[in-house]
Amino acid sequence: MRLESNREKESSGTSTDALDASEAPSQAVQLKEKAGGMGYADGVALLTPSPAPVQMDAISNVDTAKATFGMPTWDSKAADDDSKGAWVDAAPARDSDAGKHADKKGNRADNRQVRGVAANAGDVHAALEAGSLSEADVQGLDVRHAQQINPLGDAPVNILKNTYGQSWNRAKHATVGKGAGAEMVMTKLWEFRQWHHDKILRETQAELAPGELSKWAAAGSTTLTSDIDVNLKGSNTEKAVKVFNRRFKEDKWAYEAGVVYDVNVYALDFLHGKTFAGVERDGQRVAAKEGDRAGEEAGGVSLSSPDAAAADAMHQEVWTLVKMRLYMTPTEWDEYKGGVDASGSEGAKWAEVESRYANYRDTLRAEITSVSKDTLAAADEADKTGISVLNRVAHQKAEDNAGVVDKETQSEDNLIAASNRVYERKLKEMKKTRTHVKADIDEYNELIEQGKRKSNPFSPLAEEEARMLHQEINENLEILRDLISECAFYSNEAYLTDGAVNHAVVGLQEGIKIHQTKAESLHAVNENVADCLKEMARHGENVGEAGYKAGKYMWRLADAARNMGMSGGAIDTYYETGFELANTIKGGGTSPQGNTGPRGAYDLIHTHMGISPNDPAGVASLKGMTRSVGIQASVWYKTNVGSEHQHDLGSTVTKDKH
Amino acid sequence: MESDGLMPADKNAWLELLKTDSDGFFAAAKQVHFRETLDLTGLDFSGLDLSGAPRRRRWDLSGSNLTGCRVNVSHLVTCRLQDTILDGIEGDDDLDDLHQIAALWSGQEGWSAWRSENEPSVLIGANLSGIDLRGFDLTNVSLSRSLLEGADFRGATLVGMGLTMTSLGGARFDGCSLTRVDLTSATLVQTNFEGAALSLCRMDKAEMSGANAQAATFDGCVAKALTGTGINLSRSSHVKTVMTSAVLPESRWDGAKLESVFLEQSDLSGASFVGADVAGADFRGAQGLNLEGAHHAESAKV
Repeated sequence: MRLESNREKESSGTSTDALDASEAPSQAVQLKEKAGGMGYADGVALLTPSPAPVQMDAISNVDTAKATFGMPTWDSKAADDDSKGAWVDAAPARDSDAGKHADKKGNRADNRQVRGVAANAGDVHAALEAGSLSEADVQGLDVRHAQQINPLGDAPVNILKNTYGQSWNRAKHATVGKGAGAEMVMTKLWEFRQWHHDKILRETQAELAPGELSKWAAAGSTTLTSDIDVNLKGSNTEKAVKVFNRRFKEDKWAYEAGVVYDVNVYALDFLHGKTFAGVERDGQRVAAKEGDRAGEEAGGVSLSSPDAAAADAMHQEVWTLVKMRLYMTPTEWDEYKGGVDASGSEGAKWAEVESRYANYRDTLRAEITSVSKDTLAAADEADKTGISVLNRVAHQKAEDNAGVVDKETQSEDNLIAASNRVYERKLKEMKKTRTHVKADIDEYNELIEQGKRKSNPFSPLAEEEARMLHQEINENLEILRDLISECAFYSNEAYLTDGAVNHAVVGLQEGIKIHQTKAESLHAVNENVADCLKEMARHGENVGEAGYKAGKYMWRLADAARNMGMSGGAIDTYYETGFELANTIKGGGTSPQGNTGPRGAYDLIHTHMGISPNDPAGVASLKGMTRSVGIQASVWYKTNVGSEHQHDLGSTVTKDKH
Repeated sequence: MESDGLMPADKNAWLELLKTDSDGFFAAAKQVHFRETLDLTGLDFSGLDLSGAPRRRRWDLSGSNLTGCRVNVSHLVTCRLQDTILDGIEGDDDLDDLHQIAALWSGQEGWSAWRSENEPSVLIGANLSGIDLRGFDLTNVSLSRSLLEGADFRGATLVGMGLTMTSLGGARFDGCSLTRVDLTSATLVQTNFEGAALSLCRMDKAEMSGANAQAATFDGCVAKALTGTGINLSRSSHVKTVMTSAVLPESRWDGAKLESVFLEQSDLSGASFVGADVAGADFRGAQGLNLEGAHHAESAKV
């Protein structure tokens, strides 16, 4: 955090009132600490050595920010030391110099959620802040009242609990697009979430042993409707997930964090310390996998064990297909299978996918309803996707509970809570397996080193043990990677496979130019087809909304298809459209027709893909086209890659348009 | 185990070595083959330091007294602990796994009582060979990589259980319902599944030589690369069972009902299908296939 006077900034050090630059840091720190213990007005007075106003810069610590700013707001890029985002003063006008804050690279910009709002007791609306207003009342609210909600105070908790029944979904639907006052309330709730989930994470960290939860990275945009996915780092993130979920409920919330404010936490999956650095394979950079060991620096299941490597690739592919099945109806699934496997020669693969899907569905149904298998005999309904079937089970349980008033939120919580409990349980197994594999690898590496020594080399027993360990590590890594995918399936909204995660995060988000095997690219295609279907179904009211939400997945699926060597036709169309949706329209840009947001998304989809009208029928066409692209990609893969070339590397993953 | 002069001759000598030269004890213990189990049953180790126990070396400590011992928990978990006294032990990790093992050995009532107050943890590599688990509720219990040879699971509730890479040779599952049980890479030699109902179980790479699965039902189970000589699957019933690339020489399927079974690329040398209904079976690429005496052989994919 830095402190500097406006005058110093404005007059480039010519002011005699400004703090001497050489003294500024130590003085500033001392003054800040003193000011932190005062009220806002006194603090400002202390920090103002001249009549010129002092700009409080970015503060990441919530308590300090609360004591410092009359009306704090979140700046998503402002840096306090190395933080990405910090609390700043909402009072300065939009884009005024005082409203701009330096990011980690020192670039100054105004990225505040709220601008030009100072604390004003006269505009405070007591009923609003107590959560006594109804959703309709809030929709008619004068924005100046909403502006007075301090996101670091108690009001957001009251509003979220009382007005919106602890449901982020309810809050979103009742505020976004429902008037300036309502949207400002949602902005304040969004800001509340920003610090509150971080507080729970810090409590989680404090409860665990040092190093078990070392840090976390939260991904989520600044739009009011975005979720937050928190990727935990440390030596026992598997335990941290459970502790976070428990501590959140202990913070006096009735539902899971995913329901209350759309925050989900994830244990370490396929992205670990060495993934981003990568390793070289065939002269190309590939993302490093878990399990690097002597002779296998790239980690993962050894390609020198062809059967294990093939089994590993098959496990990964099966999970991508299970995910697809979840977002298809039985009829759509049958059509998909028929499209990919016209000759019916892959019955075993489909049977395996359906077995795992049924396993997942029944595990969740049992967790939701706490009933025996016999009660779970109901078959999937022909017109419902897998996820709809599960939602129905969750809803039925809420309906059966006469004491529940808000059936929708209770239903949502039934499903998320069940997923979380199974996820936590599976994570325990993942942690134990991980620890076991790591111990095996340490022992194996030690034996290999021992074998290299001239004095006291391998004993016959040690040599036999090393050979056995090598085989066992491969087998255990295959099981571990399968387990990671299964765990991811029970968590909410995460990629399931190594290929899809590395493609999206390492390649497209971080812009690291990696190469992936063709099998991994197929897995990324499949997963993104499933994600397209999920988002299109969720936002099925019109093509614009569906495309706006699914655009990034359209881009990713087409990009992955190109990486494995496929091009032309629908893949090019999906790439062009998806790229523009994900990078232009989602970035606030306009369509060629000059429209932004969902309307701009519709323009692009209509122009490039010929889809209309902008209604549910259009969305059905878009979903049908997406399933068709998925079929084409799998058929292309079978014809042009197959098991013989599945481990060959494809072209460079790049976020640049190509 | 051979005694080569460095190795203690018997279990009492092992105990004496530990008391007089603990470094020598652990060095000698490391030299025991990792596939053998060192017999340390019925000994009094109370107050001794066992924390230097080498990894991957299994000990049978049944009936021994470990009161007040210092232990390496991850190692002790892999030891056989039937009737072992574990009072006041000090570990380098929490003792939850050991409490769970003690509860499993304590019988059905003890297990139920323990389970009503505890959430089962995941046990890896526990030695529970010969354990009587009849009537236990083992829902969502994971015992992967454990030794459960000769264990008796009859009447137990087996839902969502993890038995990956577990040794279950000679274990009894006859008449059991196994739902969503993971038996990937499990050793099921001579295991008894007669009349059992297996639903959505995973059995990839399991080894089932000599197993008895007569009249068992397999529904939605996946058992790719299953191996084993002489498995008896007579009168078994199969729905959407995946057994591709299985190696099942001399297996018996007499009178079985194979309604959508995938046995592609499998080795079925010497297998018998007399009286079996194979209308829904896919045998493409199978070796040694002989469908003599089978019903609806013309409908099978070969």
